Amino acid sequence: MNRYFYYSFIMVAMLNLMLYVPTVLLNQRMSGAVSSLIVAVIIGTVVAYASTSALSRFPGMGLPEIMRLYLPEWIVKTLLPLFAFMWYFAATFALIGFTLLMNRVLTPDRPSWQLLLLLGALCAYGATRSTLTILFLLEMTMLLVTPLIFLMLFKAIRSPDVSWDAIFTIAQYINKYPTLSSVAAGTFIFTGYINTAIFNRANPPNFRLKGRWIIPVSGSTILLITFFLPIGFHGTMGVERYLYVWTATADSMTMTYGFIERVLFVFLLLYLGLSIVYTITGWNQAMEFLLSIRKDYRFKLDYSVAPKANWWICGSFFVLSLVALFFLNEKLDFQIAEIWLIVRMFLEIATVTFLFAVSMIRKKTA
Amino acid sequence: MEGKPVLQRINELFATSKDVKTHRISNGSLILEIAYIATLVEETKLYDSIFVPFSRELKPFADIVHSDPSFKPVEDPATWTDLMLRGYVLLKMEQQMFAYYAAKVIRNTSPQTSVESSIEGPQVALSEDISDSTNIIRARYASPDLQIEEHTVGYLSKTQVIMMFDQRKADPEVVSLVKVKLLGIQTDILSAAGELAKALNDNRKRLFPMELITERVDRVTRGLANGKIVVIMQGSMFAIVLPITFFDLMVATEDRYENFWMSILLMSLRFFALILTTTLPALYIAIVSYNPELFRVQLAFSIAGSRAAVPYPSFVEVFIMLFMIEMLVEASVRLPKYIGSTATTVGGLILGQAAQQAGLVSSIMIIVTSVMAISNFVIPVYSLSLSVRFVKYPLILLSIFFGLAGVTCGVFYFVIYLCSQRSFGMPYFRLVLPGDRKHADIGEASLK
Repeated sequence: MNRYFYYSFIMVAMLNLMLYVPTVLLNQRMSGAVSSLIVAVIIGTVVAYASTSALSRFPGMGLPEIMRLYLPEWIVKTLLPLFAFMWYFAATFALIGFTLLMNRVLTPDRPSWQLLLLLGALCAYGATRSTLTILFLLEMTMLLVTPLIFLMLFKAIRSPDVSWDAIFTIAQYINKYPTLSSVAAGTFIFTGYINTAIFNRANPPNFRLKGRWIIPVSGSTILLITFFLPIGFHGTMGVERYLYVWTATADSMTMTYGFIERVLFVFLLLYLGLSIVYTITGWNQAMEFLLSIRKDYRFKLDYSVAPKANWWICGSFFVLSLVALFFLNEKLDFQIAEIWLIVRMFLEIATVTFLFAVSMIRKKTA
Repeated sequence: MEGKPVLQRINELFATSKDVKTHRISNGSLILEIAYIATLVEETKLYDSIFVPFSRELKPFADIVHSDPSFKPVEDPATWTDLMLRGYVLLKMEQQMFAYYAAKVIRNTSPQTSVESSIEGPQVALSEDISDSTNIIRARYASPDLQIEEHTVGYLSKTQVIMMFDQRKADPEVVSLVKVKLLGIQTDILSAAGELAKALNDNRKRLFPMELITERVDRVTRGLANGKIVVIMQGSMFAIVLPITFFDLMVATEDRYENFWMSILLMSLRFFALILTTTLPALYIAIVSYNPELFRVQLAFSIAGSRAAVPYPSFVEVFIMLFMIEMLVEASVRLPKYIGSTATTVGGLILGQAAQQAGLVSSIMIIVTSVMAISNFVIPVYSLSLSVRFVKYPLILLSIFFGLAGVTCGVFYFVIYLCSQRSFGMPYFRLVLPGDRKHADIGEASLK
């Protein structure tokens, strides 16, 4: 069903607004970020189109099953842990980043590991659930969260505090050449299609993804908002003074009528929900990749009692993330994020190229 | 039928009970041995169809027995006690046993809906007698596709249970699953639909109802038309409808009868109430004790002002008020109707006011509590409103320790939990859009 793909796509796109993407982009706002945005939209759209059309040739199969069809077993066995690590890293990194942010803004007087204890336990519980459960969870979260986020983004754009002059000024730096890290950050907005690597297992045989124009339209809209709105609120130079630029941006908005004046809190809680669900999908897929290493593993889309192996894997994910928290701080986080965004982009493009090539072979033989 | 005479054997089968009647009567040409339990049998029926025709013999009684299909021949002596306990009369005539149904069932007469009331919807509820209920349903679902299967549940109570479904629309997988579950129930006594629903479910510790228990006929027929299975039982005026989704529990039958826009408004009101009743006390704690800056300054001040006289942290205040309100609700359910309203007035108005003036709780807390309690009653299905009443306590605990983040995590925990539930193998918490039936579903292969 179409909508589940777009849930995952829009979730990832919206989530990145809070995380590292805006910081990386805004640091280079006068040295190539603007043109990078355009390149990122093109690359992101092409990769997303390629991966979705490739996967639609393999209905009911996830990435592990497709790899087993075409690659020798030892390559599969080395690649699957790598994929598992990629998914796990993305999810955990988002979770830890968001924990630090929440801790900084909501409960600055208590240690951040306490918050991670709660969030991590919840994510581990969620990640042990079946693939179908996670798809339903995606749907419900998006129903709960997106209307409010869109309302706030709309309010933000219409806010009289936005200085459009600042935005136009930065937009004029479009003549600078795009940079690698900005493009990598920009393409991360489009990376929601990657979740189909496992979720493709749930697709019915005659599945066709419709309405793919949503990918470039929503992706570029969110990307533009991510980049330009903070500039509008904080000015061309002031925007680099913040550690979490979108927290400050959300805090610049006020709701004039109502119980809650500061948008920030609502925004943070909505994004907390999003990042929980993002981590759950990430951990769940990492878990599925790890389970698929065994050749005779037969995946099940739905089970009412989670197998023990799920609990062991997700439990160790949780412990690992707690350990990681003690080594990470915000400064290190941002440094890792910049490198990781680039590595991830190339890995994803490589994966999608493989899938696309393989789907071409399948088309010829079929 | 060798050995002992039949009547003696029947007398031995039952414990010494005065109401087990055995007679041996003769009208000159024929000898009839007859056994029944007097308290279970409608005596007029017995006289009209057995004793009178037998003694008058306008037509030879043997012919009547052989020609009337309501005299069923009985082969197996092991079923004798069972038949008699169900209100059958056993006859022995010419070395052959017959059973004749003459049961007297005490039931509520002309049942009216009382639990799920509706203003303009049908007012007749299902009956406590299973054949009346079947009649009511059949009359409103006049389809030849309606398949009805009978089972008996309970070693001692031997309760008749009927499972009905539209054989064209119901999912055969679910039907066979429910059948297996019905056959596997191990219990001595079955006395209520809720008990049956619990026994049908795998997980007895589940939090949310996986089936709809209803007394409304329109709900039942609507369910049948949508391919659901309906289970009714002798002695309870409630039917079980399954499988369901969470959203079936949020729909009141009136939504279909009333103005479209008003129903939409009421529906959104219900979901809003659902969110309020679960999260409001937890949010109160989180905001007052952790992040008062969430509210606009004036409101934060007025809350702080109203809490000025309260000497302890917010969660103690919440626990006091929740304790009071839960007691009030419990009391008003258990008390007779006339005293019930008095109790709620005394509790709700006087105690609440007094508690606030005494400085035990803040006046805002009273508003929070009453909003929470009233919005709980908005939920149309009783079993769901009970579950929702429970949900707020884990959220309160989380809010005490983790503040706003805790409440959000708690809400998401319940969302995950709901998403992972399956009602008889079917997804429980998901959106089914009108266009969905045309396309293949995600994970369709595994759902079936």
